[in-house]
Amino acid sequence: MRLKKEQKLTLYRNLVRTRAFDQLFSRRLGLGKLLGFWHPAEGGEAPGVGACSF
Amino acid sequence: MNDDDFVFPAVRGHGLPHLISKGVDPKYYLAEHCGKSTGSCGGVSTYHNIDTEHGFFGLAGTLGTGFPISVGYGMTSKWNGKQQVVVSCFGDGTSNRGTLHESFLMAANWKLPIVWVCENNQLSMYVPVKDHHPVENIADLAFGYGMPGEVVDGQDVVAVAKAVDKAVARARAGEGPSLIECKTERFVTHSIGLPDRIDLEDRTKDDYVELKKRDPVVLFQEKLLKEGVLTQKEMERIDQEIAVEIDAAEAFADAGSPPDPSVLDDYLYAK
Repeated sequence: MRLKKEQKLTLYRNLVRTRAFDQLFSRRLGLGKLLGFWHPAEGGEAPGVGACSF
Repeated sequence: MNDDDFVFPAVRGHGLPHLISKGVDPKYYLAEHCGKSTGSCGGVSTYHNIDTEHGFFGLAGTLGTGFPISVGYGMTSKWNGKQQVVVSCFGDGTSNRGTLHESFLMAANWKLPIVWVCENNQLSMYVPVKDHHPVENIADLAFGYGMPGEVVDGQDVVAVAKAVDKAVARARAGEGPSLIECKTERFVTHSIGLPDRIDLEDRTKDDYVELKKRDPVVLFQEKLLKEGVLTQKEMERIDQEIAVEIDAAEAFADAGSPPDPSVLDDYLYAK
């Protein structure tokens, strides 16, 4: 599998979006605006992003 | 992966990395996690949500129950002739569940189209993997089931994508399951909603500083900048677009109302 430029940018965008949303969920839990728990992915986003982007 | 392939996420981020990458709009998941009727499951599931349209099946009631459910979808995929593939992710702690054996065995024996992805972040809640798993690599389990097992750098998103792509192609060709172990990290505590009040976490702040030197986002960003694939301007544009998306998602979630209690039974039985 040889990644094209667009595919690399997709991976990058998915990583950054995941990090941003993950931090949003953490922040909202602290504000009482999220139900239950939040088990953050921060630092471990690449397996899920790499596995599911293509 | 194709649009109609199935994904079972691991627990970290409650499947956010997987659903975002599979093309699910995260604003519905945020609303769901906020208990709003506008959420992906009407606000009654929090993180046990699913999105059948995108083949995304969230976390079941307990960790490890995703294994046999993945086998069920693998059987369906094999028999319906659509050549769908199941990508089933789990953490290092979940690898200790007995359901793993039953599921690995059935998947291997029947050559089901499943790619097992272990996201090994070295800590099962607060217990280091070396204290609960007797060998260095969880991927070594694969050989006992007669399927390929591979260890990849889980901080390298390209390495993961390539390994999974190869395993998906193998599964789609009818050659059976594979196991990929991604050696990854966790930069924060186990659970934001469950503070470590009795000091179970054995990592110090200095340990986390060291771990963050292998931040998958920064590593890939530096690589793309060096290759000329990404420019500073493009990077800023992506950041701005995501900031706008985040604001819109929050506004969407905040605007929703909680589900009416009368809908609770609607989700218990198939109609």
